[in-house]
Amino acid sequence: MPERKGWIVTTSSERPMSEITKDLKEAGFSVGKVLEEVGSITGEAGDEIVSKVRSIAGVVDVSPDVPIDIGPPGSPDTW
Amino acid sequence: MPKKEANPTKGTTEPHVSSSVDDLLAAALERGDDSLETGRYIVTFKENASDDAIKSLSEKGLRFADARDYTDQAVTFENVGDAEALVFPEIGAAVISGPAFEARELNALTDGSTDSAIEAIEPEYFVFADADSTGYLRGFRRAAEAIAEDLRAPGETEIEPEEDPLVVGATWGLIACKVPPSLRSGVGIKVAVLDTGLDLGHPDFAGRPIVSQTFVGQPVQDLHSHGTHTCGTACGPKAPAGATPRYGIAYRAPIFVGKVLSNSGSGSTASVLAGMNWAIANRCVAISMSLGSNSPVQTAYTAAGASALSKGCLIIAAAGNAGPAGHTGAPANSPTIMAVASVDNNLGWSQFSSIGKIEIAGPGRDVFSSVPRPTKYGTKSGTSMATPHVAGCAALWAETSTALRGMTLWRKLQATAKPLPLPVTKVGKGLVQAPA
Repeated sequence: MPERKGWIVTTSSERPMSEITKDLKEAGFSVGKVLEEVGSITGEAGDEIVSKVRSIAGVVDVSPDVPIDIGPPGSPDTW
Repeated sequence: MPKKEANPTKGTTEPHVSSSVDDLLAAALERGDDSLETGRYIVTFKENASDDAIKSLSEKGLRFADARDYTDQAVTFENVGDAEALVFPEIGAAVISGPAFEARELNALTDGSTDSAIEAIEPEYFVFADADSTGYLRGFRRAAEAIAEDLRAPGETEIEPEEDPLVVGATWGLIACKVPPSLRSGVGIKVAVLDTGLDLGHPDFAGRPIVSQTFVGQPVQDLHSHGTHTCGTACGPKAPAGATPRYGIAYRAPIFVGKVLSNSGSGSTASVLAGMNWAIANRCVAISMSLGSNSPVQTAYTAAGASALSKGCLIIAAAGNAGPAGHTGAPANSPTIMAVASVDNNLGWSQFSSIGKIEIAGPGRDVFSSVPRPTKYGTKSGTSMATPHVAGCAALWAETSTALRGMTLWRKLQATAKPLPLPVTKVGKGLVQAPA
């Protein structure tokens, strides 16, 4: 089973997000949230599926879901 | 000739020249007087007319003392005896006791006649140093509001109570951003704070309109402290309880608390984007994001920022604490998002503040604000603390005009920032300032 990582798909406003989401699912992308206001779709997929979905019409970018950490309470390293 | 004997008026509640300030204050409180008047009067003489003025006063039968009777004119009020007036020849003025003013009918001296050597006779007022006056002034303020209420005619829209002209203590950051004298409150301007949530039971937020949402699978209740602190700076109350200085800016803004970071301070692009999405869906005018990662520009953040601007929302994010060796992190590094740097209380660049793409700066060193109970208040440093200063000020500016939204608001914040003698890569256009 190929390793599934978290991804953020940024979409173009030229195509309805519902259609792009449909294409993503058909390509094997496991859709998390469809964020209409910001034009992003979050989800999980293995690397080969991600290379396929990059060519879906209306997909502008697919980037890894990056962790954000401001440190635990009282940590010297914060943001 | 003034009698320099024991003060015959000590302890009485009449406002005599020899009364101590404490006695005058006690008397004012006793009679429920909220005018801040001491009961005494200040007579100002016309220029070069001091002698004539003193002559007019003595013709009225006033017993007066003169500062020249004292060594180096250092008057000790309690030693003026039963003098009804004390003249200050160096400044051409005199203080007159309340009873004398009434008894001698001195208001007739300012009948506007050009012969009069007297410029004005005005009530004497109490003055206060900031820290000591909090409780007392609050009483006056409440009384003033009650009077405003009584004066309002039926059917009139509510008058904003006149703002207390004296600063009742505020953090260095608020003072540096000229927040206390601002007439604005952020009323009607939605502010979103995307962070670790908020202590929803904190007394300083009681009664505030708050909408909250979690995006990290934990309740919004802040168990970290970061979110409560940044919310406090952006939207804290005008007059916190007790002797706490004011630490919040948009004190009447409706608050949208988006928990995009967990109680251990962690999240991911996905949770943050979900929070941004929610804030934009709610059309929050200012979206404060004290978070980020040391990543290159993320397309998703840039798209979110663009969407926000197109919908009249402004995303304001912390540049990060990577210091001179680091660069502005994401999301602040997106061209569609305002990046905030930190300055210290001497308005120098904070050594920890990331450099590079910076739009503006805010107070970020030793910032006092709210934290979760039971501690309630705490001090933190970081570009995280500078950011909500910008968001709070953005809300105040947005209140001044419906035209100030999105990009126009961004430009207004930069145009009105206080320029600093530092490179743009460190502090952008300078220190954010609140509107008048």
